[in-house]
Amino acid sequence: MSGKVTLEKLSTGVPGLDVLLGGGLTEFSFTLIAGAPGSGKTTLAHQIMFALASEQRRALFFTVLGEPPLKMLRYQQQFSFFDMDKVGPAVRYVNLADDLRAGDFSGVLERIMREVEDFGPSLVFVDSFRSVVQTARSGNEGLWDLQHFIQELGSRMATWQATTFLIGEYSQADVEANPIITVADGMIALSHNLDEDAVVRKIRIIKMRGQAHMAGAHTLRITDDGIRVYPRLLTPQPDAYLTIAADPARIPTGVAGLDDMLHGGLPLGHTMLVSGPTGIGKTILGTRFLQAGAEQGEKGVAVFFEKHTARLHNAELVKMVQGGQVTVLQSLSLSLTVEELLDQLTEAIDRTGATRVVIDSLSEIGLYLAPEFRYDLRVAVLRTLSLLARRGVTALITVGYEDNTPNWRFSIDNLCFLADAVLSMRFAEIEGHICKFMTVVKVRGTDHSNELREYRITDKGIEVDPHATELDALMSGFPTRRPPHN
Amino acid sequence: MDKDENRAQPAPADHAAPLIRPWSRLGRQLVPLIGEGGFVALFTRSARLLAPPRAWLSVDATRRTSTLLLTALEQDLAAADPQEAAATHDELMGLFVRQLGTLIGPALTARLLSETGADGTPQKNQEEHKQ
Repeated sequence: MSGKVTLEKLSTGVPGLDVLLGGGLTEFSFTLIAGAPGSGKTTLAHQIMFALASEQRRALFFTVLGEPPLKMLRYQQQFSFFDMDKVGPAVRYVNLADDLRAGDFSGVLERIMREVEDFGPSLVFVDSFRSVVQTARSGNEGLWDLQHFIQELGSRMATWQATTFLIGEYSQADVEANPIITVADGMIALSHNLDEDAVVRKIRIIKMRGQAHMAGAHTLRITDDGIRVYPRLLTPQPDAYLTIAADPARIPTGVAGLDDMLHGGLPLGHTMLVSGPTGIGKTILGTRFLQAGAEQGEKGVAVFFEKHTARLHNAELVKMVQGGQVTVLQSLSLSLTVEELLDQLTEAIDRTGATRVVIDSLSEIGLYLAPEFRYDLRVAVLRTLSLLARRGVTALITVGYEDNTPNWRFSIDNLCFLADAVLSMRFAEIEGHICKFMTVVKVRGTDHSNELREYRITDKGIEVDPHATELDALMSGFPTRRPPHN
Repeated sequence: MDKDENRAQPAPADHAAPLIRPWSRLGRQLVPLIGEGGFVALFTRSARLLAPPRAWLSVDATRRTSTLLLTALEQDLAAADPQEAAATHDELMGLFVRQLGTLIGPALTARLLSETGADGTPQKNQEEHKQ
């Protein structure tokens, strides 16, 4: 036995936040929740409070001069975490505005202590602490008063064994020069960053004494259920290097000729990137892929970034949507975060039990994404594919690009390196016609055809020639017919 | 002489005292929660909505604390006809609770006021709820 004190961790009840904190909040710690107005500080405090508060672990919430208490109660109860039954026996609100108006910090401190002694809380919140600070006298005297007040508050709450939170409208620059940060054991900073008219909410753990926390800015979202934090981590796949799929199960793609080129279909759980210029048949292939699943009783999810549902001219797809075999996801937001996309995808997969996913297409997703995700599309795609891989679904993802013969490319932004399989589709001018060709560029872990085959889009779908093209130098843009073998 | 004639007529303050007690409990419960400012705003608005046909019910925007408001209310009720005072008290309390309910919802209002009797439930000893 080491004899060292054990820091008990409190689970915050905010999805994702405990990961950033290094396991949870340290009991009896003194944490500053800082951020600009509207960044979600009060909501975060309430979510933590309602998750932790019980009749055995009571919470005292002091309101000061910020949001009027009636309005705070009016709005906070809209969140699903607000448990009305806890108000009274487990959660008590106290307004300090009148005490603070007197401008006497020691009076405020004594009032806080009276309430603490009366209610016996294990959790104490002061919202907003900035308004406490602003009542300080000017000059050195005021600074001394404030430092003394914070020191006393921190020390008394720790002695009282209360985990304490100060909530305040601070920016990063404010805090660095503020005595609060010296006294505080932890600091959680919230922000909403504006970039090209899109706002993305962020959370940072700037300081957390006694435990290894995750640094950096992480996305957060506020929904009807409160705050959800998205640590910048990939979905874990614990068995990734423990199993070997020697002969992976294969599933039909919905195009018989392509299944033939894949030597029996797409390996289960693979993500196939389908790349090619506009009009080459990527969306039709995606529909066939979902249809092949539906014929076997599988459910599918289609994420479209190209056209509105009402304009789906693909009768087969509409029929599958109407029949409940396929769920279509479409974003109306033009400030989409990857996290929203992944949440929607996860929810749809879980709700429907989908085993197939189509994303159409990665070349248009940038139109919907908030700038920071658009700047680094590869990371956004990596996170999406990681989620799909963890879910075990098989996915077909399309990517388009301007055709630029003879420049042969497989995707934009090197996205092809992230996929398990790549199917390249492209046009070639043959004897006065624009003809379509496809080839399987790669399939991880299994062999496949390397033939370049011509195909046609007909009423029956995509019909692929059963043999390689007889044209040479097709990809150069100047094809020549191969002389017959003698 | 009829027996009733022998009964002492209540002093003006006597009929006002029991009416003001629920208000005092309400103040003790709500002022710590929503501040003097919140209580005063809610009470003054309720009194303003109720006052027009009752000239005797004074509304004065300079009363900035719950103590000043409730002292004035007690004086107003004491000077009024006992039956009218009781009816006005009921209406004013109902209006105040409804105003609060409009802001924070009926469920939370009932929860916060359950110990005051203002929502119609009997008053409990507050000490029972403390540890």
